[in-house]
Amino acid sequence: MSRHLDSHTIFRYVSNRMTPQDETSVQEHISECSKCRAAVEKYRALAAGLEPDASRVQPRFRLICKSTLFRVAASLIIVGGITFTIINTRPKSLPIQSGHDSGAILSTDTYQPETYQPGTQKADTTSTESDTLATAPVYYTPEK
Amino acid sequence: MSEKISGDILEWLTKEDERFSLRKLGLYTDINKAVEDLGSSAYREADESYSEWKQRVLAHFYEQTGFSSFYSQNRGEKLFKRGIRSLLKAKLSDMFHHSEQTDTDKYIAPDHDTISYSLSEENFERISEEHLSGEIQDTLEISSICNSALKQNYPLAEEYVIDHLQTNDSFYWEKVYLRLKPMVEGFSYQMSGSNAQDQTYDIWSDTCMIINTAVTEKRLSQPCHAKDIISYAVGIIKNKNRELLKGIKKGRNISLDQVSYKVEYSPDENFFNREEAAPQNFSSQNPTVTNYIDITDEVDIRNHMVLALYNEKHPLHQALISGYEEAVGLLFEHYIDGVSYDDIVIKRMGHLPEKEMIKNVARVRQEVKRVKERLIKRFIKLIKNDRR
Repeated sequence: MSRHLDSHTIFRYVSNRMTPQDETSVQEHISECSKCRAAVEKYRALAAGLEPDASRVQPRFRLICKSTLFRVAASLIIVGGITFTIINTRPKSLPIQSGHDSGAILSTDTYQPETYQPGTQKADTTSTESDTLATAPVYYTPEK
Repeated sequence: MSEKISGDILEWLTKEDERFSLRKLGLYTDINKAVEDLGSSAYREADESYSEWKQRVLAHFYEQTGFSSFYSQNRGEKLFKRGIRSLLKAKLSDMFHHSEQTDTDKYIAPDHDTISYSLSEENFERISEEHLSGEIQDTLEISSICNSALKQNYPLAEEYVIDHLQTNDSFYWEKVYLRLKPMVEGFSYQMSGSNAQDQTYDIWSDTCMIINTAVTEKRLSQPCHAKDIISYAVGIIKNKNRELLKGIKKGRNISLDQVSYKVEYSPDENFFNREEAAPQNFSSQNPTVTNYIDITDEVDIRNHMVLALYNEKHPLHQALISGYEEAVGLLFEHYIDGVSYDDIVIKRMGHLPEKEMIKNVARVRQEVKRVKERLIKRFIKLIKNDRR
C-alpha cells in the first residue's frame, strides 16, 4: 500500500468493515505514513464527537452499577430511606376514634370523621383549601 | 519502548477496542498503561513480518489481560456481539468479492450486493451458538473460528433463500425489492418513456407486493428458483409499463392498481443483467451513497453520516451540510482540530469580559450540540429519499 488512503478506506477501517488482514495492511501503511495516520485520527475524532452523549457513560461507573453488590446496597438504602421517612412522619400521639376497626392513616384533606363509616365509601370527599387549613389534622387508629 | 513501537501497538489496541468495545466492557481501563505493561515483549524481532509481530504482541496482550474469562463473561453482551457481527460481515464481504457470482445473486440480489453471502440475524445467532460458545483465548482465535464457520455455511444455498422468501422473511425480501428498483427505473424509461419518480415508485411498490404474494402463497411453479421469481417480476413490470404507455397514448389517466396479471412467467434471458437496466447513474445503484446502509441500525447510519460529512466529494456532502456550514465549521474545529469552545470564541471574537465569555462559550456549545442532532435527522431523511 504505497498511495495515501482515501476517505472510503479510512471509513471502512474505522467502522470495522475490513477483514483483520486488510486492517493490518492499513496499520502497516499508517505506521510509516504520518499524513494517513493524521487522517485516520481526524476521522476518529469526528466519529467520536458525533456519538450520542448518552453513550459516553464512564465505563467504570457502568461496571459498578452492574454489580450485584451495588444493586443490593442501593436496595437497602431505598428500603431504609422509606422506613426512616415513615417513622419520622408518624405523629407522636394519635387521637383515638371509637367505632372503627381499620388501621389506616387517612389523608388530612379528605377525612371527615362525621361522615365516615367503616367498610363503606365516604359520602363526601370534597373539601376546600380553606376547610383543610382551618381543620386540625385528624388521624384514625384501631380501637383498643 | 520507542515512540514508533508504542504508536503502532496503540493503533492495534485502538482498533481491537473499536471492534470489540474492550475498554467499555472492562478488559482494561487505560490503553496507554496497557501498552506500557507489554514491556519487552512488544519489540519486533529481526526476522518477523509486520503481521507476525502484531499477532504475537496481541496474543501476549490478551493472555496478560485474561481475555479468556473476559470472553466467557461478555460474549452475550450487545456491544461484544456487535463486534463479532461486524467481523463476520467483513469476512463475508471479502468472500463475496473473491467468489464467482451465484445464481441467487445473479437473479435476485441488488447489483453490487449479495444475498448468498449476507448475514441475517438468524444466521448470526446460529453461528455464534454453534461455533463461538466455547473457550476462546484471543480475538485471533475468534477470527479463525469465524473463517471456518463461514466456509461451512456460505454461500447460502438457493433453496435456503427461497424457503425464507416463501416464509416472508423480510431480511431477504428487502434485498429482492432493492434489486427490482433499478429494473423498474430501466424498464419504465425504455418502455413507457417514464422517468417520473412517482410513477416508477408506484410501479416498483406494486411489483414488490405482487411478487411477494405470488412467492409466499406459492403460486409460482414448484420447486421455485431465483430465476422464476425475477422472470415473473419482469412480466409484471412489462405489463405495468404497457398499460402506462396505453394510458399515455390515449391521453387518459389510468390507475395502475387496475392492471391485472396472469400468474405465469416467461423466462427471457434478454431481460437479465442488462446494462441499461442497471444504470450506474440511478441513485439507488450508487454503492457509495445509501445502498449498504442498514436503515434499522443507528450506528451504521451514523458511520455513513461521518463519511458523508468528512468527505467533501461524497455525493451527499453538500445536501447534508447545506444551510449549516457555519455550525459544521464549529463542529470540525472542535472535534477534528481539537480546539476548545473557549478558544473558538477567542478566535472569533477576541478576549471578552468574563460574563460575555461564558455566554458565548455556552452559545457555541449549544450550536454544536444542535447541529449534531440536525445532521443526523437530515441524513436519515436523505437516505429515505434516496431509496424511494
